Amino acid sequence: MEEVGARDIDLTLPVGARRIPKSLEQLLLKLGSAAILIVVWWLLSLALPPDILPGPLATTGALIKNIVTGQVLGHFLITMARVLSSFVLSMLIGIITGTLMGLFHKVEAMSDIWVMVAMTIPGLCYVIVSFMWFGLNEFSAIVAITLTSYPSITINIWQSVKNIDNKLIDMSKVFNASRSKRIMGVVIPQVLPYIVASARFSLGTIWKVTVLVELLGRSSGVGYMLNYWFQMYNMAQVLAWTLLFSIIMLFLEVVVLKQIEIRLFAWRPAVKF
Amino acid sequence: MAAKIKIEHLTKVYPTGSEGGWLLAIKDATFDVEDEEFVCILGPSGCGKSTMLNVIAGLDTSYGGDVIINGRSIGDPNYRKPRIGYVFQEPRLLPWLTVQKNVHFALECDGIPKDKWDRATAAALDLVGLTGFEHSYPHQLSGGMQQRASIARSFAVGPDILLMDEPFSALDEITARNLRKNLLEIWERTRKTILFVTHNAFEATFLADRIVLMTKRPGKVYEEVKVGVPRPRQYDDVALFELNTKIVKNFLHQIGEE
Repeated sequence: MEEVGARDIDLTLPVGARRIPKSLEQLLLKLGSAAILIVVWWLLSLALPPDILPGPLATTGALIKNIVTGQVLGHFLITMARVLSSFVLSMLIGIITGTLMGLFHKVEAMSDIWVMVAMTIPGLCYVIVSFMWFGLNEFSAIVAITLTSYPSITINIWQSVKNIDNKLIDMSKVFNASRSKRIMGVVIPQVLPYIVASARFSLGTIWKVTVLVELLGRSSGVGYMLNYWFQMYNMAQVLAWTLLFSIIMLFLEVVVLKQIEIRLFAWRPAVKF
Repeated sequence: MAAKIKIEHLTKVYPTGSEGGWLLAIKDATFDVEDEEFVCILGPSGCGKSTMLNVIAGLDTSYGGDVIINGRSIGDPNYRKPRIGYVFQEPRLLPWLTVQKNVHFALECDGIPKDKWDRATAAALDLVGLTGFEHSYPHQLSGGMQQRASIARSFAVGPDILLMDEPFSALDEITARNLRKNLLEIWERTRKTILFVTHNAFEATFLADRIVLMTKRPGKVYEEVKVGVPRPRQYDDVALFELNTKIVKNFLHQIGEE
């Protein structure tokens, strides 16, 4: 039987030490998962006819052709404009109403059922009613998208404000913090993780509703193009446009949201379970 | 000279959850705290000691009786709240700020001009022995260090009055001993008025100039004991031990009685 001696243990590295930096490991894991998805897609596309599921090559080809012939930019920008303006509006409305509901019992008692109702109304209803009342224009579109997405932000922020640690507020009162200092310095930082989480999922909802709105009542944008290619029964193009905004969402997530998250929450300890 | 803090017939009543019931927490508490004096309030758990600190600090505004600070009632519209440092039982540091920024937070809340922050913070951290940990986050510090940071924060604002609510009761005895010694050293140097709440009779005897003893709930001040043992005091001082034995006997007798 072999005996393990001290020389067999690598003493230069502490146990569990990394051989590659953590950020590189994360990147490789993400690229690896992307590669697996592409391979699965390709295999499925081989098994199914091209007008049901075109493969990654055909789809990327269509996408590149679109970009090169300048078809993408205009529609993409207009969809982005709708998405971003609705996003800013929903976040503002959601954060303000949620904070008010969390801080003031009377506001909470008045609003809680209505926010729940607002959240359960399907986006489609907001879209249709908005178009009927305000006409088929940009204003209606933004209204519809905003109304669909703000209630879940409100609820999230409302609950997070109720969850804040009163002991920290008491501490700040003892040091004579003004009300605004208490809100900005003690309440908001505790609510910030929920704000970032709300930003993530509302962005997802807003994309979906924007595409729906464009399909139903606008003549430009990614949703409009999706509908166009659907009418033409061109699956490769439909997937190409879907792929396009998936890539953009991914970009927003990795380059913008994740970076914000890293900087804002550097102070949080890792959860060791 | 007028006392720094006068508590007069302080009464505190809490509504309980059940059908408009009332809980009498403090009953007619009266005592003084002189300027630069270290006073301990000694009482069993639940006797209203923390409530008393909350009233003095202005965190609790519904009470009977009066609290007079620097000659003016705290209910008086002309009352100007002095700078108060408050060390809670838990460190209550803002977890998203470093130690240094936590101290800055208190300085900012108390309206201290920004150009004084760095010096005040450095001095306060030096007092508690946390120099070098300015940029650590609370979760990176041990319980004792967090509590020291909380003490530093209270000292940094240059308080007139320091209120301490069982600040060492959540710590192990060794850390607590060191912090008590530390606190006395700081107090000798800076001579603040300190009102220190505890349920630990020996801690009170070791730290205080004078001990105010409270009964079980409803808390009432039933005795004041002057601790005549000269400073600096040692943990194994016989005089201290004897006085403590008397106090503990008295204390137990008092809570056993009711």
